[in-house]
Amino acid sequence: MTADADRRPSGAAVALAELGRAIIHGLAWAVLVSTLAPPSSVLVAFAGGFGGCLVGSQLGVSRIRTSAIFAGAAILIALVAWLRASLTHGSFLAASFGPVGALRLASMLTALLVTAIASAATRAGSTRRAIFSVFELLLVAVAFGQLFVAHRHGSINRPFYLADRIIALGWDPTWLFLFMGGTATVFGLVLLLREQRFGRAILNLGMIGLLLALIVLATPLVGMPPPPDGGGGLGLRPERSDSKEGKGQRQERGGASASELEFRDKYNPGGARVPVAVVLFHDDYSPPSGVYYFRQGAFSQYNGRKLVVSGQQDIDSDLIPHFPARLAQIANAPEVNENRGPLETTIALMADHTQPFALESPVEVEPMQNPSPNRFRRVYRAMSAVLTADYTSMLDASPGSSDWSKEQWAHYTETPTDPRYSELAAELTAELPSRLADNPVAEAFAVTGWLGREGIYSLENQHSGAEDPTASFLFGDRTGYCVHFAHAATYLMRSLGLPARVATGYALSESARQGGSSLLLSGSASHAWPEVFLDGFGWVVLDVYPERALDPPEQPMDADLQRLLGELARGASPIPLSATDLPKLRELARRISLTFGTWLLALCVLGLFLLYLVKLWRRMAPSLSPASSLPRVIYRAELDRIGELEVRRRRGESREAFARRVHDRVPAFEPLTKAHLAAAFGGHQVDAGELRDQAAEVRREVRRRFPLWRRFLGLLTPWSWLRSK
Amino acid sequence: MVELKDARGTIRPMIPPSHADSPRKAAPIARARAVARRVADFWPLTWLGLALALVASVALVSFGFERLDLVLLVLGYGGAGLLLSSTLLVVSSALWLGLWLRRASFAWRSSTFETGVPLLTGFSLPSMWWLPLVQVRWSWEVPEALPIESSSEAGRLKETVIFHQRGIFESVRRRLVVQDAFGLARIVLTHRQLGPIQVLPHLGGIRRLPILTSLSGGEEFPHPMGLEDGDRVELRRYVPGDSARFIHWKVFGRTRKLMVRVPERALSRARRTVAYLVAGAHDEAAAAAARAAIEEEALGSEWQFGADGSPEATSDPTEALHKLMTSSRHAVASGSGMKRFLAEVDPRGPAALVVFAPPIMGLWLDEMRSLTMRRYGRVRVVIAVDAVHEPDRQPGWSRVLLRPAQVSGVDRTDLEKVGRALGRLRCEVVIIDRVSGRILGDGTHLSSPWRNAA
Repeated sequence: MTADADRRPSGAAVALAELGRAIIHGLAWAVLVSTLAPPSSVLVAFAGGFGGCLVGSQLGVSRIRTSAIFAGAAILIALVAWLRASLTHGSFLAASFGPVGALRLASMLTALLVTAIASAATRAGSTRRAIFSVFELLLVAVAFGQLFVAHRHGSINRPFYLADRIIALGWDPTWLFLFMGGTATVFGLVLLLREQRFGRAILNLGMIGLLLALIVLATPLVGMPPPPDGGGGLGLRPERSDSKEGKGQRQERGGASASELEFRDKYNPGGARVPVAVVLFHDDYSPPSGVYYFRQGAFSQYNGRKLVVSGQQDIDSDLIPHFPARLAQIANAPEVNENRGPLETTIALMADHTQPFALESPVEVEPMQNPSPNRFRRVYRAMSAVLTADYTSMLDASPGSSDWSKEQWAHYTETPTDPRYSELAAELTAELPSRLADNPVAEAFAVTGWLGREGIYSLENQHSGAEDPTASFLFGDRTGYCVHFAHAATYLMRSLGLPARVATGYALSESARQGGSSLLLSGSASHAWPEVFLDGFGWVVLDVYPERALDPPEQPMDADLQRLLGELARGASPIPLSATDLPKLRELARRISLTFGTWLLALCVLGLFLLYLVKLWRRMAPSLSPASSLPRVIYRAELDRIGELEVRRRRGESREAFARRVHDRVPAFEPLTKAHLAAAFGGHQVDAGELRDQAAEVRREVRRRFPLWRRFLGLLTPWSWLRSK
Repeated sequence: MVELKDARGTIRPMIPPSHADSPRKAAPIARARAVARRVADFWPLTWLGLALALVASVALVSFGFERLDLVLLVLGYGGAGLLLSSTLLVVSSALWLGLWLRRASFAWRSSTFETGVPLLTGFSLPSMWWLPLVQVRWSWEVPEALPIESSSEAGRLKETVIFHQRGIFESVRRRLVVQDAFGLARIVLTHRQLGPIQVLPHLGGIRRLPILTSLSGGEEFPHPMGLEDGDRVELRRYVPGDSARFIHWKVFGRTRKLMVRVPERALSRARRTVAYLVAGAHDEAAAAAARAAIEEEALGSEWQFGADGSPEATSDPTEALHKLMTSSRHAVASGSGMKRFLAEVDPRGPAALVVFAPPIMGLWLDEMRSLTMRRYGRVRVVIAVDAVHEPDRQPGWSRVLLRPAQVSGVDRTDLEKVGRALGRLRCEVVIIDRVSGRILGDGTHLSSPWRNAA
């Protein structure tokens, strides 16, 4: 706590504060300009911000009205824009410096003037009214935010020119962003700081530093923010909107919770590029379909409108029911045989999921130690019995299982009462070659093939309001997204007597691995697909691949980011140390730190030396000065001595008043003061011997009144004389 | 300074204008504003704090969570964390300070103060220098006294106050602002300390002003109208402001003392002086001159004093100073009691009248006009100022671009108007600068010395 006295500006503190603010302004502008203008403009932007801030401080205490300052700044910036346009469009500069030189010169001039004007205006405003400081905060926030804009949406490997160096050192680039966020915060808070006493300002800055260190360190401990909602409507991730919207509202939209699929007129994959999970393959595997399907949920119970999650124990029991606490075997997992082979994967979730998922079809699942808790929500290992057999080998398989009860059969083959489904299914199978006429697998393929040919993939459609959205899709414009296709395929297959269901999860092309062993899943990979149960194979994905799409294809995930996150999920350094030029980097860092440290140390030593030198000179001056200046130097020496003990003159206090105030503790100081003033104003000379006696008396009184430790500390303080007045 | 400890028991405390009116009469808007201000005093966030909350929220929600921007995430957390910690620190400090103030008792360092000079009041707060981020500053709401300065000594913040206005105050009300070092959070407490305290006008340089010695009745001039006329045959010490023409150089050559020639003294002198203080805007300097006249016995041995607000005549210095202090609340009715005062003192015999008046035109000049028309005898008007400034002649464009200059004191044209008005009434006018004690002119001649005022 402090009061007005503590906020009383001291010259050095004010100058330091101004200098600090000017440097921050300069840095912020330099950072901002570095992302917007050629590199040559960065230095002048720093100079502009620096100078503008200093000018702004003076403007703030001038008589110019605040409105006039802001209006003037706007006009000047407009003039600068006009000047730039004139310079770049005219031929004068181009003729003198060449086109590139002219452009560079115009950019530099613009950067210098705009930064200077903007800094001056914002600083002047902040000096006048605290609320205007928010503009300075915004400047810092925008500058740093813009500099690291590439790392947004989970792309922690960007910007490459910074992240690569961090990765090369074997560190997680996340810390770079957190640290830079902390730096930006410190800069912003220094601009806000209204403390003008040096000591208190240092104390407050120390507190800010501690607070920010706490935040920077605590942020990863608390966990990084989850990726934005993705795969909404598929029930893959807990949706924030679920808690906000009432149930009735969801019903009106034909919506769904995690236990049912949702038909949406406008499907938003949300955070399409934001990674939600990393899958590490322990072995190489190429799926026969060319697509990796990570099954999370299944919807097989027809509720009169759509397929929902079944509540029966013996239905869809091949899913992983919940996140495992220990090694767990999946109840009805398909057997590992000639059609399915074992494949182990590690799945690191970066976003909360309602249920674990694994490469179809999981056999066992086991929790794993999280190598990076700040990044990954959960990590588990899954053993899957992946499909190894070719699709042609399925032609001989019979649908369903001989172990199923009638109820199970009925469950998986239940269809809407709408006769058009069976009519269309019959129509489709009628086109099959005669040798495959009664082959159920061929019939299923006929359905998916027809849907792929006739359907149009689009995230925007008009079916959600229909009583039966699938019928609206299938017998309407056949424009929809995966949920429509999966439902349509499932209903048609069920019409043909095939046990089918809709599964949800993530689906990603094999090419997305890009040759690596890790696979990055994002919201855009969320998917729903139809599955058919074949004896000896289990649930087999028979997805629809629409040949026509109204939406642009998804871009593959960043290969570097995929590899980086894969390494982090393994708990390994992003790059093996031996594979980098780490020794060189270390040597460079050592050299820089050594040089910088040496210079800093030398400067500190030099500063201390100078301070002590002046202190010594002021203390020794009475012995070396001529008699004419003796009253002054003796007075100064003794003033320094008692100033070391934190007994100082207050602002506005006369020397006589100060001497009277300290009379209780140092009575001999009063005659010394009188002698000094008499000599200074009256030309009156006091006997040198008398002066020395008075000074000696002051020293004796100081020794008597103040403890040794305090005197010793005062003597050690090199800058104590700076505060003597 | 005359001791006021024996001032009469019925001290009439000052009531600030804002409290003089009954709450019932206060306009609803004013009342609503007062309530809003009270509520705002307890609302911990400042406008800057609210703006930071907004910026931090946008950084957190729109960028940190929606776009996974880790830089802005930390920035948002940092801003929100600092806002929270600042608010908590400020609120807890304010609570603690409020409780501490309830228990604490303060004694006035003195019951009598002076305007215009920094004085320790005896009020202090624990400095708690080790508690970071929190600042405490305070001001006086009633009476107005700014700026407050406080010095940190031995772990205490000791209050030093500069009074602006003379008066007698039953209590003072302080407005304590507990805020953080960034200006994000703030809570205002009020503290009332009982008095009474008496505030006298600061004398400045008037104390040494020899012109005051001539205010006494013994310096009467022989002219029937009391004008400064006749042969200059008397001598007195030179004082700053005297014309160099009248310096007696021969005497100076002999004695090395500067003496000036003054008109001969009256043969039959009015031994009594009656003095009256006219209250009004900028009347502090005039009150200081009146105080100097009373304390320095410049009014002679036989005098009577009255002032606006309490025009009953008194010869007691203590009571006169009391009248002088309480007159500041009667600035609106400027000169209203002069008639009653003279009606009381004039029948007692011939007397010289000295009027201490503010440098501003007002009702008191009408009173002076009627007074000079009916009263025979010399009237001297002492106008004291703290500073004189040039009239504001800013061009139009300058007024749009520049804020008005901070000027103190009285406008030169106002002062000249008053001087001319009094000159027409054939009053003897003396204009004194309180700070330096110099005589600036006589009302009709205010040419260059005013430039040196203050």
